[in-house]
Amino acid sequence: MNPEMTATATAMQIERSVLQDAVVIRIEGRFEFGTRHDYKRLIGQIVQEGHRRLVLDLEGVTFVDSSALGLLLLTDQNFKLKKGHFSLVKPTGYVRQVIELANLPRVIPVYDSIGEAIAGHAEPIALRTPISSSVAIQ
Amino acid sequence: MTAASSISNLRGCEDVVPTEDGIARARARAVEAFEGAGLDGVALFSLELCIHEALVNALVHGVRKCGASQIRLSYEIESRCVRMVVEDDGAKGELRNGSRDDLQAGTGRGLWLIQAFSSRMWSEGSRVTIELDRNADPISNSNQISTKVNRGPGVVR
Repeated sequence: MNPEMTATATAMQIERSVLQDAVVIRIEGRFEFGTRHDYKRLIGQIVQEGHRRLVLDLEGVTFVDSSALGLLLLTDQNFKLKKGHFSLVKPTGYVRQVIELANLPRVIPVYDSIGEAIAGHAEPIALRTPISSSVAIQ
Repeated sequence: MTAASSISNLRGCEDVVPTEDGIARARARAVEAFEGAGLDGVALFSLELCIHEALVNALVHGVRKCGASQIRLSYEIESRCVRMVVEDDGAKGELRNGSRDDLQAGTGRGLWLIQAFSSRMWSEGSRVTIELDRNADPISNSNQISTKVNRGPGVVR
């Protein structure tokens, strides 16, 4: 077996920072079933800390699957229940096409830059498609 | 998809270790084989996504919920299409369709993505077959996907 291939089969890197009271998470690599625990752990921590503004920078993400789509919807639901804001930034290539095909931008705002996303948080939350009330990220 | 003439015919089959790491390795090996056969671009992405979702489905529903102990992955590149089969030895599932609504309902997302990014899929018990036509461009044909998804059979245990 190719050891390099194994090492990168489910690799994801996450960076967290704060910008103008918003938590900014930058994900690189594969956002999928095999890396879901890293994401869930970090989001659980952010929610527990009481943050209400979250920007998820997807520019470095190379692969998303149904697990990732589900987690994005759950994260959005969590922040809406707390009257907070959650948005996505710059998904690219096939990742963007999966997200658009799944109609996620109808539910979660998608911006071209972190600055636009943070500015968008100042606007009232638009009426979007209602989703189930159960939240089970953790 | 890469011009058909530059793609080699290929067959592969393996017993997948029924763990998260095992399915990730099997998927990576299959993608490496597809690349080696000359597949690239949207076709390679679509195949990877479909094979990934089918393997996750087999692990989560076949192994963890229906008692399967084995997952088998096979694939074949033919002149007309690329065919992938994922099967497990768990209890047989019931047929249903996936839809965009499933994306928000919390179930069937994987099935929906497979249907969206393949030309055809069908199941017989715990065996799921997925085909991608070699001249297909699933993403540019995405406007047809809702029709295809509403029409096609699928499996969700």
